[in-house]
Amino acid sequence: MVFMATEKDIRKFIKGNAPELTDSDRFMADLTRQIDLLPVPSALAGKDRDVESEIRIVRELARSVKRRHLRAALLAIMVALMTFIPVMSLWLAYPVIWETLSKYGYYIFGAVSALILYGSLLRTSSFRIR
Amino acid sequence: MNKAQFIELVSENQESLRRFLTVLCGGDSFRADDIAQEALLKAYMSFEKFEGKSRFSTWLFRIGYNCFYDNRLKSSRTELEELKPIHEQKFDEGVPMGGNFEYQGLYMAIGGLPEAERTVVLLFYMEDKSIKEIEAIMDMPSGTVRSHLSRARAHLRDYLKNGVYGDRKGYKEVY
Repeated sequence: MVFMATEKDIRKFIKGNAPELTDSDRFMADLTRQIDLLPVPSALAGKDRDVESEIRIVRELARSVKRRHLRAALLAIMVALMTFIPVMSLWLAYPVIWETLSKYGYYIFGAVSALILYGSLLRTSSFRIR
Repeated sequence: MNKAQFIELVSENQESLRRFLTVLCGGDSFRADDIAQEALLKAYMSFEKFEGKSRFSTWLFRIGYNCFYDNRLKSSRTELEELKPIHEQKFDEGVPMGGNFEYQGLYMAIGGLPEAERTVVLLFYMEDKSIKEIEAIMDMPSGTVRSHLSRARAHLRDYLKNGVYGDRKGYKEVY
């Protein structure tokens, strides 16, 4: 009868003839000693947790800045409406105002623009990330 | 991960890596341990390159295999001769056989194989690595790994037919 080695026979033969290592403790002690002489790489400095907490802080800050800007935009819309309605009412009630506005239009436009620019600059310079 | 956890992981995997390198070095355990140590120190220093796409042991074996390859090239360049497995050197030099003799069967079985086939066989049968892991360790396409394995398997079948069940001596009986 001709013998035919199976996959299992090959595995068993190789595993059965594999060298046995008995000095793992000595090897590990030697390796640990060598590792202790080397600087600790940043990837193994155990700072993963710090980085994660910093990422969380930055995300929270970005969210708070977005909320603040949204509040400011809503406030600006409300102020614009509150100003627009009385001005329109006055204009409709007293047509003489339209004449005055037409006469001094450039000055009024310049004054309003300067006021808005001043407000924007003041807000930009006082903006703080908290 | 920190240094202690890295050492713990290495401790779990070092034995299989050293066994693999010992057989690749033809039973020269001192040379194998030197290569393993070099590989593990390299792994420690370049841990940030481990992306976690493969298993940690696969990554270590890849570094270990590359170190073995470099070491072999360096040795063959300096000695200007092909490295011979230690059991063959002992036969040549007439030195009495030491502890490696008990694993003679394995070295005789895979000794005639080209290095790539020998490596594939060891990873597949001795270290139970999958084809995918062997691909990653040896940086070879799946088809090449499979053809190496197929040729090596045929060789081993032949060896077992004529060796273990035949009249050949000098191997460790496992049946």
